[in-house]
Amino acid sequence: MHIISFIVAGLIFAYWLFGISQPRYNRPMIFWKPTGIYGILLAAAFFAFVGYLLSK
Amino acid sequence: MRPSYEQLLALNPLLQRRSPEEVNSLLDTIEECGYSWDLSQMMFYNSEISRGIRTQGLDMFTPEKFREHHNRIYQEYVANPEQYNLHAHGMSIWSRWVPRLIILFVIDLLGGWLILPVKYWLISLGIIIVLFFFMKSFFVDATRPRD
Repeated sequence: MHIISFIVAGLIFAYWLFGISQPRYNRPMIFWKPTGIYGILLAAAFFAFVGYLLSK
Repeated sequence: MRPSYEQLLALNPLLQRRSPEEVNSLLDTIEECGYSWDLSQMMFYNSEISRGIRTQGLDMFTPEKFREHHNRIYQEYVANPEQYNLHAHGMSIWSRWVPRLIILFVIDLLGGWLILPVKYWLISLGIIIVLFFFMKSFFVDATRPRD
């Protein structure tokens, strides 16, 4: 179960990496505002934390 | 040759918010600013300043906003062409390597835990992330023209 949480966190994080790697005006719209950027990062961190708790 | 309204809609459905006349007016401005449609990369490209504009964010631009955006970039180019070209070169290397790094990350993410202990799997993912940020700072941030 913790593996699934880590994978979900990783996929969200991979999307975040993709978004921030693009030039500003070519980014998906969710990356145009700080709330979007930090929101995605928080979602990834949440799943990673759940994965960590499940692994203990 | 410029793309048709329908072709642009297929690439960026958000352009539906703008009428064909508005889109045509925006395309006129883009062409006046020296960009031409690159059919192979499906984006507008200005060879003088080595700058491409994809269709994703095009719906956010009005002709005036686009001209402002272009003028700002062009001033950066005029102020220090060498630094600007270095940055453009760094960006082209970066844009070639980013998809590979992200694909490597996803492959490792989905398959790494099958062949590695969880601890080493997470470390390998961490190494890819560190490599990502190292390359970003080396090719993009360090070459960016300063004000």
